[in-house]
Amino acid sequence: MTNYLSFAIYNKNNNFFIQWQTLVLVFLVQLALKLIHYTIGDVASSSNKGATHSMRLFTDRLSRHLTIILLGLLFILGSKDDNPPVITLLGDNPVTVLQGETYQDAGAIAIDETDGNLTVSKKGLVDTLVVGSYHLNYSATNSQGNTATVTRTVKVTAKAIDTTPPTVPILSTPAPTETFEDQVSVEIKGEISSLVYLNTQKIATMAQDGKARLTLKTQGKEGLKTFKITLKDTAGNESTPLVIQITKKIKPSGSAYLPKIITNKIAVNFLSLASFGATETSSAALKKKGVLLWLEEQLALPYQAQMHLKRMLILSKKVEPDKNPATVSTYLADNETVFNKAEGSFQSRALQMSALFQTILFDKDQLRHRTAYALSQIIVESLAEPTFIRRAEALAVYFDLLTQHAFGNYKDLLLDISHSASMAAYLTYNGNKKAYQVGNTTIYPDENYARELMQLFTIGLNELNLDGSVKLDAKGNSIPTYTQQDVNEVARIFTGWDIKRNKRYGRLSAKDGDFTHPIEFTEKYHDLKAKTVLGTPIPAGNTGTQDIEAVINILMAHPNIAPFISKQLIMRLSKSNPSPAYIARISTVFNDNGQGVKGDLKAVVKAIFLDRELWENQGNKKFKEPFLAYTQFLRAFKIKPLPRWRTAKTSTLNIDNMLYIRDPSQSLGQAPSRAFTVFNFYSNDYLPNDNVFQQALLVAPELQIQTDNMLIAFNQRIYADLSTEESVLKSKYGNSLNDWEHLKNQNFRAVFSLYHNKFILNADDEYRVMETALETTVDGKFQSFKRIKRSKDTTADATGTTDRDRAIKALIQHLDLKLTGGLLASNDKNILFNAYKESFYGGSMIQQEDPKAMIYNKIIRPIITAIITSETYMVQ
Amino acid sequence: MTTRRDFLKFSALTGFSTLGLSTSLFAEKSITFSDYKALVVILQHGGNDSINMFIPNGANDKTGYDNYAAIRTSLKVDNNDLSAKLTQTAGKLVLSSGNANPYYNDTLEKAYTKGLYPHAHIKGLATNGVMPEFAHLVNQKKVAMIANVGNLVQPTTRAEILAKTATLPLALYSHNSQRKLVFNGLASELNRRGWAGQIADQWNNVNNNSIYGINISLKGVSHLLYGAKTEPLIFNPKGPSEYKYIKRSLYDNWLAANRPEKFQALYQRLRKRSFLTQDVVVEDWNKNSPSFTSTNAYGGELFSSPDSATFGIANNDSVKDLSDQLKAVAKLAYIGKNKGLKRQIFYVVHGGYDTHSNQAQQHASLLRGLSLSLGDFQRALSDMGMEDKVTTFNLSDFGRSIGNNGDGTDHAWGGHYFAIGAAVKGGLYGRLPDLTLGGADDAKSKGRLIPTLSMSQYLATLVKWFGADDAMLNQLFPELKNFTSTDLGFMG
Repeated sequence: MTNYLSFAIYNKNNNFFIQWQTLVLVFLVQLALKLIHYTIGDVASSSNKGATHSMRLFTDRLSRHLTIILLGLLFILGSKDDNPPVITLLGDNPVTVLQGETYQDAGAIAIDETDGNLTVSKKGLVDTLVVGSYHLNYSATNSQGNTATVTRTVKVTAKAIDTTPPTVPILSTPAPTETFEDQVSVEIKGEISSLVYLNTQKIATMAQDGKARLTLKTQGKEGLKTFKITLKDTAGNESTPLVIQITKKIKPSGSAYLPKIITNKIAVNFLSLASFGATETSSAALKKKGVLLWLEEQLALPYQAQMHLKRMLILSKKVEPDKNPATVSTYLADNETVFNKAEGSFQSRALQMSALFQTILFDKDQLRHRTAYALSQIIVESLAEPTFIRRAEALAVYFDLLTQHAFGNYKDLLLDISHSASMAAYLTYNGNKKAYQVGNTTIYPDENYARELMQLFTIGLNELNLDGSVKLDAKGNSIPTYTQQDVNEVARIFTGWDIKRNKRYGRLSAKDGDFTHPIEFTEKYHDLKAKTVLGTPIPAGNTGTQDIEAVINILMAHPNIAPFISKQLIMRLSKSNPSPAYIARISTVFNDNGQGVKGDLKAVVKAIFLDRELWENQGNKKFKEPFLAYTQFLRAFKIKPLPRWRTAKTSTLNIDNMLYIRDPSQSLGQAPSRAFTVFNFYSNDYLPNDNVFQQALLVAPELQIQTDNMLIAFNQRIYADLSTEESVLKSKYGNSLNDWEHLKNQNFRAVFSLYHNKFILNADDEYRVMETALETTVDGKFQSFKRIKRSKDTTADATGTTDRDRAIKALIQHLDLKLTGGLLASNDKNILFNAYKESFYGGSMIQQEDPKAMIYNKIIRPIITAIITSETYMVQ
Repeated sequence: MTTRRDFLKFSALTGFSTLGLSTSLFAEKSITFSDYKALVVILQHGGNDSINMFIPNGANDKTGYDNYAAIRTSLKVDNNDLSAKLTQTAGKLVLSSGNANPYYNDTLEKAYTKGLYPHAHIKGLATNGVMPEFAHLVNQKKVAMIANVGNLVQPTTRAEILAKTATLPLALYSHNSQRKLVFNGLASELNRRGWAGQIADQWNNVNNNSIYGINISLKGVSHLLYGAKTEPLIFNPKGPSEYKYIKRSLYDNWLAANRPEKFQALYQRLRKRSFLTQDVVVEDWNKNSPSFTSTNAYGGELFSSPDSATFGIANNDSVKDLSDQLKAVAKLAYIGKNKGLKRQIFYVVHGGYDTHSNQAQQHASLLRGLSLSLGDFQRALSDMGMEDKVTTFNLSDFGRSIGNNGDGTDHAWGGHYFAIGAAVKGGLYGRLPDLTLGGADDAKSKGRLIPTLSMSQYLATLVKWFGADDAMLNQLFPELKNFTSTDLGFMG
């Protein structure tokens, strides 16, 4: 509010000054008083000179006093109202700005003692494009009209061109050179406020502390990854790069779970899964290398071509030279197969089985053969096809294909199997013809392989999730993967194929036909029309192989194949009841091996054996297959072929160092390529009749074949096979096992009868262990051993334990370590000891007997049998 | 913790084979029998082509011979009556040797299609020429032929199938699934215990808790025979195996040891059982010897395998395998009856029937072996005076397609079955099917017969004779209620 009386204004320094209005007012008052003075003077002169003089004096004095009073009043009243506002500049003064940059004025504030905050108006401009000094005036006026003004000086200076790049950033701590992770964190140091660029992308700004923390992404495939880090300043100058190189590695699943130290228990158990049984050599190798390296070495061993067939050839030539005159090289060079020259032989199946045993028992690439055996329980072929009884070379070729592709791709395995003579015969598409009319009737092609290819070898009956569980529809029902129509269509694909060199198209006979080379295609019998399988069209006009490739591609692409095959491989190689997570992990590898390839069996097998589920829980995981229990037994006792045998008493041809083992299914309940049906030896969902297993839904397929009879037969088999121990044979028949005539005369049937297996086992380690406890000279002769009664044994110690007792205990300990890794319960070992401790002492041995043979037959042999047939050995 | 419901649902999905359903609803019956009866199940493994076992020889244009021959083409059996060569002495069939045999025709394949044996009292089906012993049994009215049986949930027509409104058995045409349904006794559930296992569960004191139980298998493990609480005796036809060479005291102590780990504990239990079984069975087997006075049709010892010359056609392992099994059954039945057992089920398997190709040779061999073994078996039973106490019948995965795939047949559905024994009322049961491809009884167009009678009806008839009451029959074969006739009438 304007106070007309306040004409004083205080400036910022609290000085006041009288405004001109005050002076004018004072002047006007003076003038007015002077006028009165003089007017009164005029009036007084006429009459009252004395009064006029007083009046004139009064007005004089009044004007003076009034002036003073008025001034004083005005001063008093107006002095406060008369101050201008106070302007405060914000920001610097003077302030410098670089040419070309934007000048941002910081502003000013004005405060008046009466009015409070006032608006400040600014006058003046700054042209930052032109170098120079600029003045900005800030003023504010209060309600009395008092104005204050302040000036700011703005200097525009020429920009200095910054051409200095920041120094190269450095790492605070060294970066790792390799990683398994998907990202690596690093900290770099460099110019404050500079921008951090990674491989041309800005990713951060250097903080005020001169550091920046960066995340380098290393996800993806294995290999060297390079990171270039530079710093840029505001002028755009860039430092030289800091180059970081990190090798990305893919960690094999579970390598963190692998044992650091391989104990006996681990060695024996692992080798019973990943091979046909631990030997001294393989156990030592595993202990030295550790699981990962052992596996990698096994996986890297190349496929030795056609060992089943070659060995069968060699043996066939030895056993029936008239029927099989060619050598391996002749056979391989000549397409006219040697097996085809003669009508199939009844020895064929025994020779195929012998070649198989020779391969799996002795070859170093154990894991490959072990995988092939597992695959043979999925893609089943067997001697149940009667033609193979005399043409078992078909099954040798079958095993060679499984072995070849065991570390290859499942698709290639399917392709080769589909083109094999053995499968064409086994699942009867040999001679399939496209549909044709006979009178009013249409004859359709055989559906056998079409169905089993889908049901058993690829996708199974019902849709599965990745973890092997059955998918359900909205109503809770399972979802079939294929229909009868699909079977019909696939049957049409497998037309026009038959075995080579048979007497007519489609003939299946042991008497003619080439069972070792792929089947041949006859176009006129092939259904050339378009087909649709699982909703996918297959074009018309395909050749036989093109059609087969098309259907196999469709099946390989199906999401079921990964869990369907992976789960079965886990059950054969690892454990019977894998968790869904385990199955999912392996299925994932089946779907993509890490390099974008589906069906890589090498990757799958590796993943199965490295998975944490196999290593974390050390409890029992499955029942041992009787066949594998048997091969482990043979390898543990250093099986070798019988040095010399012949095929008959009348034969003159020596067969040296060739293994001959006939089908052991009767004693084991199973043997490779001897399954009763295409559904394998046992069912993968066999739930044993046991409360614990049923409550927990634990399956145990291997138990399905271990009937009362089989258990007894197995027991007898082990005991009987142990009669082939080398020292025992030499003791019985004289020292040379090469002297055929002599052995024949002694009626050692194995050397002349094809109904007997021809191998020998060796218990030298067992003899040594026992002799060490009994003799001072350990030479395998047990020289000082005599038959005596226990009461006469002077080696008894304070507890009554004699040297002989110690020998048996040492034997039991040794066998336990060798066969189970040391898992026998001490109670079981005591039972064994107590059962046989008196066998060392006099009594039933009347005749003069070689002590070594006596010790073997009375003690070593039954104890081995008892352990092999025990619960501890038969679970893994 | 899985509840029972979860358990059932889970196993339904994964196809676990040995799961019981409602055994808790039916408490063990304390049932007793005073007589002895045995059922002998012959599984023709792989799906028997019953149309060439019992050939339609009627005049009807749909169900009869002409239609059959036109469709079967190269696999048809000639309508050639071979009965004249079925000679007899004192009611017993006598076969000659070599080419004097009624079926003889140079090769196995030709013998297969040479001819057949019509039967006066059976209108419309005749026995294949390679089965003279069987034909003779039929003529003695000891055989019931039951036409067109198969897995069925409820009566099903072609119209329903084509309209997709039919309730079909699960997993039709798949070997193991169809066999499972046959063993389960119903067509709508794959997860159930076998009906023989369930009988053993419910009647487990009928044989006084004998180690033999009720079920004995002569061919390994079978889903049919496993109950919730009981297991079959698995018997090797050559004779019981024995533990030898290892001290018995060792085993007795070892197998009594405590084993806390569950895998080892189960294995121990299996071993223990094998010992117990061995002890009893070996003794019985060695002490008992039924003497058979009869010879087989060739004059040779019962259950012996004639050589090729006598047979007139190539012999093979398949003949011997079935003979061995039935021989063991005869002895075990003898032992069982003498021990005072009352009810026994024997399970025998004849393998190789999945004749997708080479059928003329393969099936011929199988049917010849089947006939010979069955003939010998019935003679043995007769010698032991047990013909009316033992009923033998066949099961199979399925019948085969009427349509021919060139040299064989494919998986199909309905087929003909038989039951043999003195307790059987010989004759033909059921309706002969229309064989026309795409006809009224064809599931589609390849000659896959829609069964007219269900497996449950067929089995219920037999199990009823065996001694089950209606309540038990309905529990064993729940789909019976979908059919009008629950007793087909072929058991006296």
